[in-house]
Amino acid sequence: MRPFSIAPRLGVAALLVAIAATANAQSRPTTLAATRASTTDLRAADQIVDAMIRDHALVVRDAQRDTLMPDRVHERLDQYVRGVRIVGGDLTRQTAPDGTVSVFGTLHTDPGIGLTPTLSNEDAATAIAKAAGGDSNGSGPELVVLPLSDGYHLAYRGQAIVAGEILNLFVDAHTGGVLQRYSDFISEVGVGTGAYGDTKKVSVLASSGAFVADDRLRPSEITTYDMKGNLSRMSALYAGAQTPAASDIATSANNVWSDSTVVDAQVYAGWYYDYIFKRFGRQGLNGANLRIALFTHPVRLADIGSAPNSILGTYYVNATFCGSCGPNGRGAAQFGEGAPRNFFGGNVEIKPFSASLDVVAHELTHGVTATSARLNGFPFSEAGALNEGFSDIFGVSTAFAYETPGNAPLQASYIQGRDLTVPGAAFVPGYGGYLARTMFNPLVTGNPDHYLLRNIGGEPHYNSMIASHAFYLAIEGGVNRTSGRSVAGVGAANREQIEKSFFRALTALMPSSSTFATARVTTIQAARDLYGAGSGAERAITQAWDAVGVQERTAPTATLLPNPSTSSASTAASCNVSPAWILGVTVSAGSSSLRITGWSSDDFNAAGAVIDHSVYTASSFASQFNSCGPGSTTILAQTDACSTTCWILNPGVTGGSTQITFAAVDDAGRTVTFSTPRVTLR
Amino acid sequence: MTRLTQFALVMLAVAIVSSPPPAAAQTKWTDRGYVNISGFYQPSSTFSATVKPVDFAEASIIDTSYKTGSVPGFDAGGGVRVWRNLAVGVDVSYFSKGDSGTIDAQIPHPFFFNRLRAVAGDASSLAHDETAVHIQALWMVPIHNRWQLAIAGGPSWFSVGQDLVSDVTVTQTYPYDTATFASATTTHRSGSRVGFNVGGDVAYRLRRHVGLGFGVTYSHASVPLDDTLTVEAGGVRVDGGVRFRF
Repeated sequence: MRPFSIAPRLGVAALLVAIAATANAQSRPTTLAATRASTTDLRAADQIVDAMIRDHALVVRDAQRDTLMPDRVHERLDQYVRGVRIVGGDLTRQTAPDGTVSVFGTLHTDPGIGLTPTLSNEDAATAIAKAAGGDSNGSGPELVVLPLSDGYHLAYRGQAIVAGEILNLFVDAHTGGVLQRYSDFISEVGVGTGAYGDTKKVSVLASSGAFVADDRLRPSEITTYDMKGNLSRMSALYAGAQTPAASDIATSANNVWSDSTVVDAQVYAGWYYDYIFKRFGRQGLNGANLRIALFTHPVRLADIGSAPNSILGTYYVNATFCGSCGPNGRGAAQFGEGAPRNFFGGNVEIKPFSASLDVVAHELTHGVTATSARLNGFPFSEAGALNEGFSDIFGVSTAFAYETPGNAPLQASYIQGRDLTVPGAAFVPGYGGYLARTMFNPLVTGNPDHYLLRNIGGEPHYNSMIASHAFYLAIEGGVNRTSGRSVAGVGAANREQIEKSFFRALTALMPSSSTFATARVTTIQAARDLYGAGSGAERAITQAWDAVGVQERTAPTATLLPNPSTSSASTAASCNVSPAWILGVTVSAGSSSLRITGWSSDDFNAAGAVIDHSVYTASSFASQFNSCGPGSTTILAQTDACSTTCWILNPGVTGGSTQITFAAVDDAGRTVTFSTPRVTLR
Repeated sequence: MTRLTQFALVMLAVAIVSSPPPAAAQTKWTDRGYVNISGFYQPSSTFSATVKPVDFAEASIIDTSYKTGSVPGFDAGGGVRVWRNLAVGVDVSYFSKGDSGTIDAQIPHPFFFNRLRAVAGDASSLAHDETAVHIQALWMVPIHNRWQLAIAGGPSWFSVGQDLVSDVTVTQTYPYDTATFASATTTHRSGSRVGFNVGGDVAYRLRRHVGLGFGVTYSHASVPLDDTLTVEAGGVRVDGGVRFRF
């Protein structure tokens, strides 16, 4: 096998040669971003796509007419190799009456592995259920090719229900061993209203002499279920294992709704539907008025004291969206119950999670994503971070559509989840952080404002703020604190331009395997589509991505993030030595795959003098860099290898800095070295 | 005082002034009583009313301007002389008419408070009827052998029935940010109230007991139709008809 590349800036001839030469090269993924900026590349990409469609190597998954530009059509295409889908191999293609406008995505060369599984479907289902420790869920497992950072695997993808949670698992199609697993719950920390005593209209349905929280005024049915603290019932309904009964729907005898949790969920979901309809012309989460199911009161607030941490973190202090949950398995959101004042210390009250418009909108944006870009792949990938980032973006944007700008409760701000706590946007000691995220300055709530500060393999909400901060800068302008680069935003009065550009990118242009670089090129393309090349929107978005350090991903890079940035007793305890730091290290391959040949670290004392230089083997890389994929010395192009590790400078040294350097061989056989930034440890 | 009222009073004055000076014998009214049967014409009148029915859990504001067109009616009255030229009598009038209404309404949004949507339309065939009973003290002034002038006034009792716009129906589709007037919902209300009347009448005797006459009357009462709506009944009325003296 040989790779083919249809990356931008390759000429037609090069593309065709590359395709023809795929038989003997190392397999790898290649990102594609072809626009009319280069008609030659675009024409070549278009021809390749058509050829692959004819060969059934690309299959149209979805085609939708553009709601903002009616003469445009957007296709989503999944890549198959001899009838087996390649996970994350997909494209978006935008066409106009005069031809193709853009093609974005990731394609893989033939993975070079056998496609005949040893395990049968039934065996795979059993293996999935066994591995998860629960019951298999939904239809039978799907045979797929799974690209991980160490290469390609023939795998079965399936779901299992474990303690009310939906787990996605990939098991090896030959051995049944678990290759990858992640929760299908997309969780969020947010803020709310209605619990603040505000009065609002609830669209409901009269039924049998009472009223039920079932909105039929909007084209999409919106139903709020009241689980009355029955967690087992909640889990069964959410997982789709049982069908909701009429008695599960929240009810009022006299149509005066006093349950603020229900009111907020029902009302804010309606407002979100209205927002995406009016702003973007999108009809519901999937563009076809998919019903919206909302679950409230999964647990009882009075039981919080006896709740285990897993329940506490999911059903009290969280909100989630699950794309395969709820009635008919078409997606549902659930909103945690909150916590009484001072339960987590700091005299902070945590409101029910439906209480915040931006949180409800955030969760439902996951529903849009699940039916469009499908970024809800591995949450610890850049796509997972983008999934959260775009949810924050449209959570906040929904708030700006309906609330007066300001920093009081029920006011719109660039603080996602501000109203979740009283006082607003408070640090919650027992939670160990903020429930809110400050898009105007991510550093306030301990999140990165720059790509260099990313921690892929870490919590997706953490990295999400690289994107949401770019969104903020594109509207409001300002200076990125890490890069020092300034952005001339379009201004709040023109926020619609940025919102439309980002929404268009999310729903029409971004493929499932998107990286931050993909988000950059697709949002820029969307701005060009809508407002023209050189428009203010395109300029602002370009400057914003520049400011947060997101560029096309061509060369290998590495980041190093101390977490926490200051050594502490808890850090010492978890590392079993003091003082110590937990380092999140991300190694990212560019357009070429890498084979790591070794790595080294340099530690410096507070005065900057070298106090240690250590050299490590490639095999130690494989054993340590396994937090966002299987540990391996190979890193496929456009993928990451991640490590979370304890770090000491020298015994007893309480501060200084460190830097890690990696050596590798790329596809062309060249030796490349690259380093993390030198990071201060305090 | 309306222009029509001014015109009528001027005409009455002209009639009085232009008459030949009455002889002394002519100043005494000798009839025992009178009966007047008239058709009348009441000029158009308007009134407005606001109702606030609750739609989508919020009060609508529906302003309707009602216009009662120029109305022909019928009245009849009579009285007896009780002392010199003074008589007491009663006069009854009635008219019925289909009104029209011009509606300007603010209709609540189904999803949001304080986001009223403006709609406008017309309502037609709004029934309006008005019955008035005027008790009158009348002073008859013989002007000439054939001419008589009567000045009258007293309390009046009015009964008014009116179709009122109580709500409107609109056509609306998601996202419901605008609405279009479709029709008006009406309800019939009635009420009564005591007011007053004052006016004059000029009669010309064709024969000893029969003549023709015309007059101008202003009457008024504020009649409550419900707790919030009061309509003004009466107004200036010009009538003409047969005058009987006996």
